[in-house]
Amino acid sequence: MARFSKVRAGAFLPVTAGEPDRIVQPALPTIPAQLWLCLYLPQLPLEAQVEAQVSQSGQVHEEPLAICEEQGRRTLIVTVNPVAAARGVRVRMPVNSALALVPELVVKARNVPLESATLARLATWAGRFTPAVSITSGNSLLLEIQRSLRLFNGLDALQATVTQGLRVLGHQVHMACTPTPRASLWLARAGSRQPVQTSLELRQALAGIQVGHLGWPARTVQMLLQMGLTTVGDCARLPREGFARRLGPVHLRELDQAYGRCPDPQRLHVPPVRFAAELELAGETIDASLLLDGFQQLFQSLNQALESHQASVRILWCQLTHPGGQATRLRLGLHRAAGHSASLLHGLLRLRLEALLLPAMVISLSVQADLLPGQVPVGTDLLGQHMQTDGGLHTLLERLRARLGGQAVQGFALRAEHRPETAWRAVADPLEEPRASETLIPSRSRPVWLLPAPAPLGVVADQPAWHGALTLERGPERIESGWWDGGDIRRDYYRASNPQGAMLWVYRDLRSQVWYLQGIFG
Amino acid sequence: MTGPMTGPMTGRMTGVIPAALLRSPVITRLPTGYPLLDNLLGGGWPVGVLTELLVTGHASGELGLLSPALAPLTTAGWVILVAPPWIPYAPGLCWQGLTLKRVLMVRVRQPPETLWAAEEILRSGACAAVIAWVPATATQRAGHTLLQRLHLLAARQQAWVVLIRSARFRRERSPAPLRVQVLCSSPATLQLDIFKNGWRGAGTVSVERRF
Repeated sequence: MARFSKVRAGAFLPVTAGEPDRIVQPALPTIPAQLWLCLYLPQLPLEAQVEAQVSQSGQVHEEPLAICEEQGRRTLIVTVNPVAAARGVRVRMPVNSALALVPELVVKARNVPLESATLARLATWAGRFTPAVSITSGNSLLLEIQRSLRLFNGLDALQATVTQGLRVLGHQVHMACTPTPRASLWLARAGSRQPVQTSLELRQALAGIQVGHLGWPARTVQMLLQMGLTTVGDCARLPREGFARRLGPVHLRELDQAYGRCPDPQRLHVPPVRFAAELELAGETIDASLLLDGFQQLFQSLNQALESHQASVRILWCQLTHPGGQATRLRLGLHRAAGHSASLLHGLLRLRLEALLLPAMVISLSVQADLLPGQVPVGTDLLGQHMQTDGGLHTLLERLRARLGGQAVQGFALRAEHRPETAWRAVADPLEEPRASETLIPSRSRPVWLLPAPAPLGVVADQPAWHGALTLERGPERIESGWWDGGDIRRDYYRASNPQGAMLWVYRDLRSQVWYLQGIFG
Repeated sequence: MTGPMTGPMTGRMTGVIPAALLRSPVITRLPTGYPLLDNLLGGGWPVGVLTELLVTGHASGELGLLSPALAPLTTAGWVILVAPPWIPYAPGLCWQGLTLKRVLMVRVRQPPETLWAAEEILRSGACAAVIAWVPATATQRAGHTLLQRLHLLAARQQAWVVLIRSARFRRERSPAPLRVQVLCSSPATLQLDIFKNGWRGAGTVSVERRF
């Protein structure tokens, strides 16, 4: 700390030509090649949940509502609605204090997946302003708008259109516009409204940002404040090497990106592509094979769409329209995304159509599907090896699930547990299971069959009985475990045989002294 | 030609070939893990044909009997258990030497689906072994035809197919060349009555159960 203070004392000297290693160097392009508009949605945690609720129940929240999040050991309020704000609930207030202040406050936990989905939807919406939209951490969207300015009559008009559009969608927004994505992000979070177009303006605007708005970890911010560095401008005046050593090269890089001194590539949002195709049948029919032929044509065009978009598909809807407008809809869900799948889908649909009783003749067919990014490799590679390993099994499992139900197929894995009933788990998708649990090996003999639930045994002449009195062959093996999660057990396990020669795995519950059958050997 | 099979009639009857002159088809065999049983079966469980195990009740030790042959299969191929009577217990399978990540279970909702599922699995050619617990009601209608289809598919895919059926089907005809009745005579041993054994003679053998 003391050493750093000395460095800082030197760092306040005016920049001279002899000192080339400051974070900010004078050379900057004067005309920005890009202009990034950042849309920061400070109320997103709240808006996402309200939106979901409105779409479900059609009601708008009029009672005080707050969203909370666990931060360290405390649970703090992250956003509040206007009703709650008017009653004095503030952001970063502990939940207990907020409830003491407003007893009828509705507190909901933050729903990050819902927020991500909302943000992705907004990113797709923002695609109307520019093709380059990216989603960044911290509830923000970045739009590259340099080439869109003329179309939308300048920056002010564009910003007004965006604000208006977001208000209709129910979102509050803070905007900032600078030549670098990171500077836009920081300025938007800091709440600055001044548009920045030139490098000089950028330096001035950045210099004033408080370090608390950078989204850096609380510890780092605390450290900066203790050093007396309150703004980005303070940080920028420090020697590069010392800054990187004390605060980490990542933060130095972020500063460089904000000042446009190093590239800041953005991952652009790719809006989902929906496939929809319809086929008018030549005449009314109810013949399953004709319907399947029709669907086969639609699947072929789906295949072409998958190929051209390099996409895969997981859920699709097949609709059979009857005269008079009613329709029968079938949902084909694949357990794993599939690429070139016309034959697989055809087979699955055949299984479904066989089990279906159509209420009327069919006049047209349609297929709808959301295309997922990422192609599933099929066929053979350069050396003639099949690229889709276990492809035959994948098709098989999808067919079994289509006919027998989604839960019909399962794999097995061990769990590190002493309680017999929880020492294993079912694996829903055996093809995708990480192979981590294979290192566990049971240390004692275990039966190959497990009963779904332990069955209480009758007692004959003080001995447990199951199709005849049991003879205890080996045991006891005491298992006492599980006090920490409420599933506490105390049992003595035995291997026992009955007169028919069946070898059973039985236990006596040490609390109730009742005998149970839990497994069967061999 | 010498031996009991050649008689004065043989040479004159056209279209009749003495069985001893036929060579049995080459069948891949999986060592059973029990030397006495291997001897009797001619090297092990036959692959590419149907094998039928007839059991009384379901606690008859059939999975333990098959495990020594299943274990090496699970290192490379998939083993699918169709409609097992209880939950296959993962630690127990592991104890028997099976590689868990290669074992799958298929549950069915109605008895006839057992043979349908077995047929689908064989048709896909994606697995090394199918063990199916066939309920008595699954083979009521056209049962023999269904079994024959399975038999042909097993030959085409070179899979090891074992059907576990109730002992009351012993008197019914079956396309399976190997039919074994499993008798749980004592807790320590299984009595195997091999009453149909392909080209070989029938016989009985008792094997020790392993827990």
